[in-house]
Amino acid sequence: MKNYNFSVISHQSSVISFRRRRVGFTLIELLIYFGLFSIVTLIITTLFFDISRFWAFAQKTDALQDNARTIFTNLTQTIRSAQNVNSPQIGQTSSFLELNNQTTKFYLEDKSLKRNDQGTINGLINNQVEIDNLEFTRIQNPDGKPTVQIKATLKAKTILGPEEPETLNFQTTVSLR
Amino acid sequence: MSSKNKGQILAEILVALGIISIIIIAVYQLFAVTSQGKEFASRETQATALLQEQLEALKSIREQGWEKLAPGLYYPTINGAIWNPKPIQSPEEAEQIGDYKRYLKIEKVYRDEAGNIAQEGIEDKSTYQVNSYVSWQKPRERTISATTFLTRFRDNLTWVQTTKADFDAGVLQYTETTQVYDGEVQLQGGCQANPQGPWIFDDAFQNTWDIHPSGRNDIKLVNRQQGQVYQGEKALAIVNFHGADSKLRNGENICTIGFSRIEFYAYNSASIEQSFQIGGNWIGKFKEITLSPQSWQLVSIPYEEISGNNEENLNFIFLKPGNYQPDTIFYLDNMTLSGGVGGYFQVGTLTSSIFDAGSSSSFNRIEFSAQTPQNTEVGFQAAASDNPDGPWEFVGPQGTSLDTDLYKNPTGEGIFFGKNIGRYFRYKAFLKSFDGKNTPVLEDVTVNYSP
Repeated sequence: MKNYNFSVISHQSSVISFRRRRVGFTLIELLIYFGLFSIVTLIITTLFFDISRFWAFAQKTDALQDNARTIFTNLTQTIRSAQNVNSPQIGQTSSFLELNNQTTKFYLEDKSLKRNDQGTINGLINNQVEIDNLEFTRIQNPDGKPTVQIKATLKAKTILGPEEPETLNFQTTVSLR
Repeated sequence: MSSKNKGQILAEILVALGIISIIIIAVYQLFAVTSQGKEFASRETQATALLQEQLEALKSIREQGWEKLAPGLYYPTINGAIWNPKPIQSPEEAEQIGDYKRYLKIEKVYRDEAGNIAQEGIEDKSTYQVNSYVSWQKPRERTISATTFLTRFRDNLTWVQTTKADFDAGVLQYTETTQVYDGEVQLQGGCQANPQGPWIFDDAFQNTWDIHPSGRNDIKLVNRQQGQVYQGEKALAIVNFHGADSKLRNGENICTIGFSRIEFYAYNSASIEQSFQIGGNWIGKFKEITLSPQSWQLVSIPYEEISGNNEENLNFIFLKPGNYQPDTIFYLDNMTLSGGVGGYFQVGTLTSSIFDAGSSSSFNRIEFSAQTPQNTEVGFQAAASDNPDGPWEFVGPQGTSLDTDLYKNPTGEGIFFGKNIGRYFRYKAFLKSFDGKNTPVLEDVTVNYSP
């Protein structure tokens, strides 16, 4: 009995002393945990935003670049192997280009570049970009082959949120071979 | 024990945070590098397009005329719907297109003796080395470049000489123009179609030369016994001055063209030194001949020294006293023509009129058509100059002015590299007949050039 009481008392006293120490510790700990947790959360959230922004940027850059390269290759090869240039006339600038006795035509429709080969129409760019500006300027080339300067501004369509759309300005000159 | 636990947990958190931050930084770095890479690639696509434009512009400028290009720094600009080179002093003045700057550098090209491009050698005025640059600052400073070698556009312009008037505009020496077809050049001569050597033998003297048409017996042809004449057998001429000119006149049929000298033996019968003067064709040129007493002496005179020139027939020879002594008697014998083979001149030239290409040009090839019978030849030398007054340095395929260094291939030969650039051009045609029996006939000359 005596022993039992003692043991109870000692047990109680030990419980009390434990509780006293544990409460202060838990508060500090919680504060530290919350502090660290919020920092980590903030960093991770920022990281996710950055990743998504980067992803959007990468998508747009890729889209711009792919489309610019497609236009560049297609126009360059077609003009180089063309027999003649029908429009624009020498010294003039227009938004379309006619080649090979007007059987090949490049033109802008709904902000997209189209190519018409004797009635067969193909789009040269995909739906991720649109063309803001397209100019074909015929440069005079005395004693030489017809020469065309191409200027285009490509704009990437917004993929995520109302962010600033990326653009790519593109300028080159091609002459018949 | 509890306090020990607490420290452990903090340390773990710190370590975990450290690791997480390292990972996050790494991920950021990865994105940053990747995004920069994407931007680089995107920049390069645009820069390549600009570089290609610059090269196209360069070709367009070349096609307007080679003289539009010169060593230096330029950028191409469209002026009046045409590409023009805009000279700049340094790369800082390069053309700015959006975020890009571009310019090109034109440099001279040298070639070694094998014709390969080398650091040193002969300057090739028909080739330039062109370095083309496009550079940008963002996201980091970068430049892309391309090197090309630009040569004159082979425009295949030609200068053709074919009519008699074309050839007459040049300078003819021992050659003449004819109009059998549409104008040709051939060697002078041919009055002896088939010469058999010298015509004026002592024993055939009378047949080819007449004496004293005035009737005075200044010169007599006589027959003598062998031994009294120089080498022949019978005939020789006795010249007996009576104070007047003595004459020998050749007969109708003689043709001296193709020879350049007259030779004979002369004998002074006096016991002292005597002289006489000899002239030809009544033009007042005389040459004094001094003879030792009582000996035969060879007299050999380029007949241009006594006559006009050896393109003219030598029709007359006049003899007159030098230091006149009454009744002096000379003997002449063994008179021949030499310094040629007779018939046609062995070498004649046509130095063409001056061709003006309008701007500094490269003269590439020379072609011709000619008839070349046996033992004849036609060849050319060429000269280019930036000045219509010359100097004209005619050279052949070896780059020398020797009359054996000639372009002889009718289907065309490249003009000696290094001496083929200029605004003005002349050729010199050499017509040769090795035996005088036939003449080559030059019909037309074509010179290919690239402005």
